[in-house]
Amino acid sequence: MKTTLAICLVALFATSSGFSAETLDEAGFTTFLEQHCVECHGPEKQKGDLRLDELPLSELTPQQLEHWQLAVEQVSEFDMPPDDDLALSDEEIAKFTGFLTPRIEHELSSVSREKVLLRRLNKEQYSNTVRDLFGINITVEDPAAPLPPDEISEGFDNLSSALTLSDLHLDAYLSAADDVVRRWADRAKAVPDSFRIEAPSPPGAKAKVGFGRGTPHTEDHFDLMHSAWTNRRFKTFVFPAKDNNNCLLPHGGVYRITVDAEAMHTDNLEGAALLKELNLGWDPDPTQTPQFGFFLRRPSRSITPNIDQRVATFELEHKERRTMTREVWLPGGQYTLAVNFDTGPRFDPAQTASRFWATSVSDGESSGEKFEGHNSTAMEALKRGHDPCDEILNHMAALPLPRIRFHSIVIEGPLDDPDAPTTDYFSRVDSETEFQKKELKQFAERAFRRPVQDDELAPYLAYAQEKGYQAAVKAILCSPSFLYLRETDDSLDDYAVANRLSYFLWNTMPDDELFNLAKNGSLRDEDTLRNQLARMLEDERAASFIERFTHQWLGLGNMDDMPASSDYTYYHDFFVKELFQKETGLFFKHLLKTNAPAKELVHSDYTFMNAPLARYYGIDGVKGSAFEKVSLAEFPTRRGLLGQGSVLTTSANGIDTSPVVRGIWVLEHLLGTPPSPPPPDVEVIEPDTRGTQTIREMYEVHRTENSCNRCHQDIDPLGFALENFDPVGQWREEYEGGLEVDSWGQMPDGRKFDDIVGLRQLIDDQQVRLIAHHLLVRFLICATGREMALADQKEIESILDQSAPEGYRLNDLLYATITSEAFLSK
Amino acid sequence: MSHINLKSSLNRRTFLRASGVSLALPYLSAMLPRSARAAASSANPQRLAVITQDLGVLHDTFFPVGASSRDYEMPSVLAELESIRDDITVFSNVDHGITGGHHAAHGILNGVKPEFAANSPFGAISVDQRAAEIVGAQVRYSSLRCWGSKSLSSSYSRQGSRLPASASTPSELYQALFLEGSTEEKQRTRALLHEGKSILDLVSGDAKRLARELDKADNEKLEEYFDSVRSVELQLGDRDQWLDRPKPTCPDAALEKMVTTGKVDGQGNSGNLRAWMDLMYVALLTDSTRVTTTSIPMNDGVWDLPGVTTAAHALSHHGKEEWKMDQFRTIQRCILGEYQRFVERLKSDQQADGTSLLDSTMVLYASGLSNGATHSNKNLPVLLAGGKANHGTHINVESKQPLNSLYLSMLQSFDPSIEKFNNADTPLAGVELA
Repeated sequence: MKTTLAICLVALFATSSGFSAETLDEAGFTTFLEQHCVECHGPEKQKGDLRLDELPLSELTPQQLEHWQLAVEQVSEFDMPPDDDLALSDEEIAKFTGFLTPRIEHELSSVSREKVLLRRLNKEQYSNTVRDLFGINITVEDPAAPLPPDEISEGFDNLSSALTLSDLHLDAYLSAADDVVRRWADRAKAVPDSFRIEAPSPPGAKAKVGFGRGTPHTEDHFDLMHSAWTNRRFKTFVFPAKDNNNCLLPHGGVYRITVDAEAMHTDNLEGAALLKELNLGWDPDPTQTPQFGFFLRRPSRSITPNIDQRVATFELEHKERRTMTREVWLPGGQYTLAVNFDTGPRFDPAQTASRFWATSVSDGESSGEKFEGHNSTAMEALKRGHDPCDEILNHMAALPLPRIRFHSIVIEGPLDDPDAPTTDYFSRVDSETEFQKKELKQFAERAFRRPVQDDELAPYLAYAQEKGYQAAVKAILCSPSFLYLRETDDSLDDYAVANRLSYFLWNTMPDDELFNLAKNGSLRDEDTLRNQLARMLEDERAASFIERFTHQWLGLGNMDDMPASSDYTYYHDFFVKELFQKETGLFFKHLLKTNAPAKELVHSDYTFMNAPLARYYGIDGVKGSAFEKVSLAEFPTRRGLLGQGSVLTTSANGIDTSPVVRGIWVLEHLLGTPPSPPPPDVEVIEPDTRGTQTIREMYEVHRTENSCNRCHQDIDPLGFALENFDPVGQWREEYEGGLEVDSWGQMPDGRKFDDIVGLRQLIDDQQVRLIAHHLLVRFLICATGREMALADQKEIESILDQSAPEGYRLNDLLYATITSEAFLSK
Repeated sequence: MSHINLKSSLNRRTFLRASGVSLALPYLSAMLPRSARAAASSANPQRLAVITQDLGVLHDTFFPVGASSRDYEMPSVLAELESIRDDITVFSNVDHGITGGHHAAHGILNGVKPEFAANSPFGAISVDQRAAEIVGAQVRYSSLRCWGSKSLSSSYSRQGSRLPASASTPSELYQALFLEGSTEEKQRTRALLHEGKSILDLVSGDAKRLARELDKADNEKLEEYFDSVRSVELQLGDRDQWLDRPKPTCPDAALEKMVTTGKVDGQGNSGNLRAWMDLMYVALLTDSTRVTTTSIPMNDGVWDLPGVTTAAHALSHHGKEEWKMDQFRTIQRCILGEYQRFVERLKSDQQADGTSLLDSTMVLYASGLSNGATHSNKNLPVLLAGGKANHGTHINVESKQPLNSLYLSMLQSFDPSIEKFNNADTPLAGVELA
């Protein structure tokens, strides 16, 4: 189905171009097929699984229709017949398409629209919805964690046909409902300001903190000297202390963290040199703002991966001491809280200690002298049967190495929670029928996201009276009316529209305003939709749309599936992957906000960066950790999506680049015209990086073999243009082995370019239309939760035609999406 | 489970495809796991252990050359298995006929590319989960899925969901196998199980009401919900029963010590692999499960092996550079070494009837990628040990049958009446497993 829409585009071009050449009759058409097509697509061979001689011309199935569309596309694009000596004249082509196109048009008009099936909330939608229903935090504790990952189809995780519901899901829904309701009830029980812990702990304090390895401390302060990102483990400041491991926070809630901290030696090059001698690969960046963060780690009990979660971030200037506060949501229960020096040297304290040890013992002459003195303490520790790690680290603390010194950390709370549920919900059971009925109905209407009839509520009410309100709430969370988006009529009712809007643009349930508009029956008005689109994009919940849409449209998930090699230290040390994602998200958001034309996606002379990302790209003058709009007037290589690290990294594999893989990425994700897969018997060329052969030489066969060249003439040039970017999106002039990067290419139509800048200039109106077409289709898929099919082609082309004069402005395409037939119908 | 009506559902799907309606296949209640109640447990029941990896092998170090033969030469890395040569069968030229490099590699146990799993016309259950359906609640855990980075495994449910790992760390799995919860925990679990049952009663009534408002296609989708209710109801009952049955003690003192001294978690890859395989072994030995799978993730950094300095994925892109190929071989040797140790342990365990645990346990090793350098999914590395087969052979598969044919043969050891497994309807020629 994927290729269909691009095909149709061509089909319609063919009609609108209005060839006046006389057309064929049916007999003439049959003769044409026999002369030009049947040898490969007939009874003998069915290349590409296509047989044309038996394909009917009316009452076609969708698949048969696609086959004729494919034929029109291939012939009018001069792709078929494949050999030059069999080439058709323009007149012959016109006759062929002139015969087929009206028939295809006719058949298209009778194809019925595909419907969205009963659509399950996906994992993220489930989490966001319970967040909004109960006002609970989901970023630190995700109630949907026990659910299996969602099935991806067409790149999206919200397609009704792919989202299944299995026993695994239902079992997880039961436990998630219990978890959610428990946490919700917990809000009612929390006593404000009942908890306080201080580090370093004053003598006699009830709640105490402990220090992990590599945390030199005194009674007045403690130092963090490293970023313990290895294995994502934090062994720094541990809260609560090891010997006090019971739950310290009795209830979840918002807590206040106050720190009095000082950045020491963070811009000290001498310290950096010392660390270099330990071969830690630490490369100090004086432009980088010292940063530390608080992280939460739960004991490994569930099947969720044991990754520490960031709950707060703080920044200091070099040499600065400051007191700062943050209010953060912390869960109740058993876990530890750790603090990490995010921009500190990245090492594992125990490993470093042993390396330090080895360096100074084996290399006593040179570096050993610098570390003089620790040998004896470490030796003594060893003699006493202790691990010398702590001794060594204490010794390191005396050297001028970068650190954050904490003079105090106070955690207190929970803060007052005015929206906490009243205890009435939980205490009243049978006698208070009216109260329960009113409350439960209100809850059910929000949970089902539509009006609820009394008879529908009755069983839940009876259950509440028997088992209590909480049990009934849990049952509602397992009901199909909660778990699925219900769309019953062909033309959607206003509540269904409210749900589509909010799950598309916010990835969560509608808010009161949307519910009210649905109640008034005014949601389908075009003005209302325009206003709501503007309002919803401004809302912070739209961040979820921006993030997941760019992620799924551009296939950025590959950055996680194929993580960059650990050799790219800066990429890992500075969390460049996250910076990439942020850049692309901000860029896309800006294009929507300014209603920019589609060509900006490839040509924009600006992007968004912060200091570490600008440094990574080799661009000067950007300061601080906050992202800002940066001009690319001087940096043409970085313009548009094809210059962004996210795209360049996801289209590689974390280890090396391939012009073929990158070229396919551009065709598939940007232009929406993925090439057909290689023939099944083709052997992939085994890369050889020993430096004896250039990449172009290796892929020479793609040019010389006609069967390869048919597709690779479209694929390879695009990829070669991107060869100046390494697997993690950094600019390179030569490969590791020393061979020079060679990025020229020639488009199938003969136009040549030297590099990415040259390629970009060759992108013409026709390609911009393809880009806009692909983006619009992705919008529609994501908005409706179904694939676009034949019956949608007309509407898609008409939207594009309407927005063509303005250059396919992005916000216009988005507005067209939510006012389309496809969006407003089941 | 004598008749699985795959045929009729296939027909229905074919019909829907042809009519242009794309629809996920609701699984029929006839396909639900057979519960313990229906199954008579035999004296030495069939078991399955699976080890998968995703990066392939260097062909000349793994695949024997030539036609099928008992008298084959073991190439350098495969030679790691010399001591169990007579207990294994090594295959060449067998694959799923799918392409797609790393992504397709995740389909190693079902023959389906992940993006098509939910809509696969013939289903997408993985061989281990199919076996687990047959075992059902005869054991505490119908299947155990180990390692799996980001809590994902190579195992797929009947509906095409990629299943999370059963535990995120070895100690967590150990706890599930051998440690009893407190009385309060058990009481709380029991209360939740009972509440779960009553909630399911309530919501299935609500679903019936909803069904009346939906059209036919949506009702077929809702069938997934009804099937899930029925299935979870049975599972809650099974769990309720298992709650009161005491757990076994750990038969492996060394493993127990690793756990109690806190050393079992957070090891490097080789230690981690050993820990998971040890857990697979004790889980089978104590009959806590009869189906268990370890999925070695491809992106887990640098292996802690002598001479290895670069991450495995990067090594698989060796670009014919000798040092990279050398390190890659070291990792492959380590994995096969653990396979060998695992098979030896099963072999040395004497059952009451005089057979060894290996005689009733098939041990499959498979990689969804054949060659990491070319990202080929053709000619996959596959080894099989144990069960009732007559091993000791290299089988060069010339029949063009899919790898699922081998899996079908293996499943028939669990239940001879199984006639089909995903896209395979005849057992792999030349392999006698029953």
